[in-house]
Amino acid sequence: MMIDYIKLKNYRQYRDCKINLGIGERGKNIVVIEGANGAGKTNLLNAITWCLYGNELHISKKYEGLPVINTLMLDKLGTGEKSIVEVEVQLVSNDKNRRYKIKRTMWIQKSETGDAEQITDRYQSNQQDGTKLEMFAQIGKDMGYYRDPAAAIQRLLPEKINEYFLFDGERLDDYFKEESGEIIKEAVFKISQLELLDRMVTHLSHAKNEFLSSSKGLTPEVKELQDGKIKLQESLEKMKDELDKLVDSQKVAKKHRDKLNKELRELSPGNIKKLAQERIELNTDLSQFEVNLDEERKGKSDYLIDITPSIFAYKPIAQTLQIISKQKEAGDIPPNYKKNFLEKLLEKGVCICTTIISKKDSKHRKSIEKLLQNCDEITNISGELIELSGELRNIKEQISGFDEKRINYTKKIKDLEEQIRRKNERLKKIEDEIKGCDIEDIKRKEEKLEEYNNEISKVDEKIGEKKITIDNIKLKIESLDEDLLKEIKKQDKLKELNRFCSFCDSALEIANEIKSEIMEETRKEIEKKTKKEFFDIIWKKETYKNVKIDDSYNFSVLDQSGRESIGTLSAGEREALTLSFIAGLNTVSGFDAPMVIDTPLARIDPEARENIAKTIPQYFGGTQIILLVTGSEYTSPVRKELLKNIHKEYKIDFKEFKKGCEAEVMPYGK
Amino acid sequence: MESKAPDRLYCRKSDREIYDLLKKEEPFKRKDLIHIFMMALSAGYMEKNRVKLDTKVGLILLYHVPREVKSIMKAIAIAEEDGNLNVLLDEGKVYSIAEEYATGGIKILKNKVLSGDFGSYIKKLEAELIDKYEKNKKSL
Amino acid sequence: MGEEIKIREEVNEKIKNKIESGKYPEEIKEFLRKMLLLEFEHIDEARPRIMDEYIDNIRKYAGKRRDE
Repeated sequence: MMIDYIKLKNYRQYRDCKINLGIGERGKNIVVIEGANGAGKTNLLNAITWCLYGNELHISKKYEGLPVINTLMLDKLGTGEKSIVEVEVQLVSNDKNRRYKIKRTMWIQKSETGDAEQITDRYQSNQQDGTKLEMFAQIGKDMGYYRDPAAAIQRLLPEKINEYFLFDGERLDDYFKEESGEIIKEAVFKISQLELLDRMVTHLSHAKNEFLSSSKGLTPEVKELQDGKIKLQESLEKMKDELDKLVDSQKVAKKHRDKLNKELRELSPGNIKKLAQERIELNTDLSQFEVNLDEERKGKSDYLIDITPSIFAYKPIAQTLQIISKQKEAGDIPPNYKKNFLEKLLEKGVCICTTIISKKDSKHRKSIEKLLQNCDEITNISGELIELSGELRNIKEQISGFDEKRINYTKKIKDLEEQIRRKNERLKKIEDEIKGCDIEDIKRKEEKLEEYNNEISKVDEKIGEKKITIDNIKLKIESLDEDLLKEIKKQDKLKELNRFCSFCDSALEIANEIKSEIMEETRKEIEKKTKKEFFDIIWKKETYKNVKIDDSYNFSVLDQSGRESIGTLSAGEREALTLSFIAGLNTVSGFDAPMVIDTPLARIDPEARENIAKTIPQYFGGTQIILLVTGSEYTSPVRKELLKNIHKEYKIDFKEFKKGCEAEVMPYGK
Repeated sequence: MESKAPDRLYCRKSDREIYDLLKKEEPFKRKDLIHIFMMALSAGYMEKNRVKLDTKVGLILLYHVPREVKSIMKAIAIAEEDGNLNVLLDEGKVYSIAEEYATGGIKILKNKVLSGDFGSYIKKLEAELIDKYEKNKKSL
Repeated sequence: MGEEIKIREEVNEKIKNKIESGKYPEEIKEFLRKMLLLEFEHIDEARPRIMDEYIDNIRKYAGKRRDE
């Protein structure tokens, strides 16, 4: 199936626009629509989902608060004046034998405050949301309309798996989540029309019950068994009701949980917890570094003050050393004898050699007196001079180490200052990133999220228990049925009843058998095709060994060691897996959808982009592929890979005015 | 005539408050009065400004002055006496020379320290030291 | 405007083929084919009122079976 055209009237930035798509000759199945960010690419996707399902499934924050109606149009309306918003999508089968035109209309009135108010047209609105949905079909030569277009659309393009054919490259993370399996299984069930068999089983069971309960002339044994069966059936219904309630409550909890997850993703840039933790650590580090810096600065200052007198008094120091050194060389330091020593000798009157020198005219005394006369006072402090010389030499050494020590201090200080600067820079970056994030709010939400997860787990357990109880009751009912049939067989007059019941049982068994077989075969086919396409497209073929889809439609990608790797796939690989799965889904009989891919390459590494661009056409040969791309994705190498399959190229011309904006989709060729 | 060996270093009465003031300021908060005295002496010696003490008050007990610091004062005294080592025989004279240079330099020091912020005084001091050091490098 | 389109799409071929190819008694096959089509006609209804057709057809096709 392909989209023949999309017509938009007053929808968001599209005032009045028709985009012809289709498929060209000779396998040209790609249409490229290029637009800058915010120009309107995703709103084209939203237009399609709004038309088909009444929901804008990819609406961005920018447009969330804005009315659906084009704001320029709204501005033109007078108070109380009405207008419409309309999107029409025409789908055509590849053999051109079937054509479906789907149109959704919404009525808008301008309020007194200038806002857009949706109004319901009493005669024309046919949907619960007040819009009008129409679906016309031409099949072969027959033409007509669908009384329940919403249901018909669900059979053609089920909403629950819309993300697998209306693909949003920015939301790669949402694919292959835990809950995706159930949703996919349900959709495959619907697409394969297996619900027909389910309904048949239900009706057959009811029919059998009716036969059993309406029979006349029952023996007391049969009546007792029947009464017992009725009680069990009542109990079964009660259990089923309780199960439904549990499932519903779980769905609500899951919905809240998913909503919270989404809010947290939007609130929290990257990993807010990590950033907040980093901020705490940085602040602690900074305090320590600042203390260290202060210490180094003070250390340097203290050192400079200590060394200043030495450096300023360098000349006198050097001079004194020289003088003392000369005296040493002259033999004056240390002296042969000190003056006060000679004085003491004369005072005592005894020489050191014990000669008496007390007499004034003594020859020896006179020699000592002569020595004394020539002896300098300085000899008394010769020891002190030697010490002084030693001290001053030390000081001189300290001075010679000045430059090195000073530079060391300076370097340490500079290092610390640089580290502090870098940490402050990083701190500022973190502050900017989490600016406006209410950490407390995030914490509260995370706590609430955990509560929901716990609730979901608990209810899961209860659901499991309830299911076991239901199965047990069903087994009891089956057993009662067998006993009932045995009793009935015993009686000739109930032969007919017996025949009907057996017939129902046979039909039931066959219906269930066919249902299981088809589900299993479908799953295997999808798995086989997904695996084949995945290994054709990925570039790291030697890394992975297998792709599996289990009974619950949960995906596994196994590496060469058999380990689960789906959580570690790169963005490019995840995209490859999704595209492979869509190719697999297309093998399911009855499913035939065009592919609309919004920003297919935004999250893919540049090297991987050309790979994906190369394989998209060969993947979906025959399927229409509409690519909504930005200029930075649609590079020359990417265009080159797609060129031979391109049917049409468009560019979104977006204009912003004071009172609103407008976009047109113009044919374009680079 | 030899002066009696003193037991302390003195400063002018009017300068005492400068010492007390500087003691409360960076970079002397962690330092002793002897460091301020020696910085004042260095400032006075650089400017060749030797000022006699008219009125004096005790500042620092010599007992607490490190040997190294005393050595520097002795070297300065020897240089003042044209290289005559005999000045060392007169301890009083050695220290009074030091006191006179400190007196001549204390106000210079005060102005330098209190004129800008702590960082700028230390930066200027470092620049002066580098300059002095470079000039004397050859003979080191 | 055109007639309301009812059955232009086909019942899933796979289901039809399974019924045809299965080793089941002919009367059951006929019954299943008919009921399948009946269900398909009412696929858009949440609770189709078709029990009477079921009862009638069970009587009809079960009557064709040999007595057990």
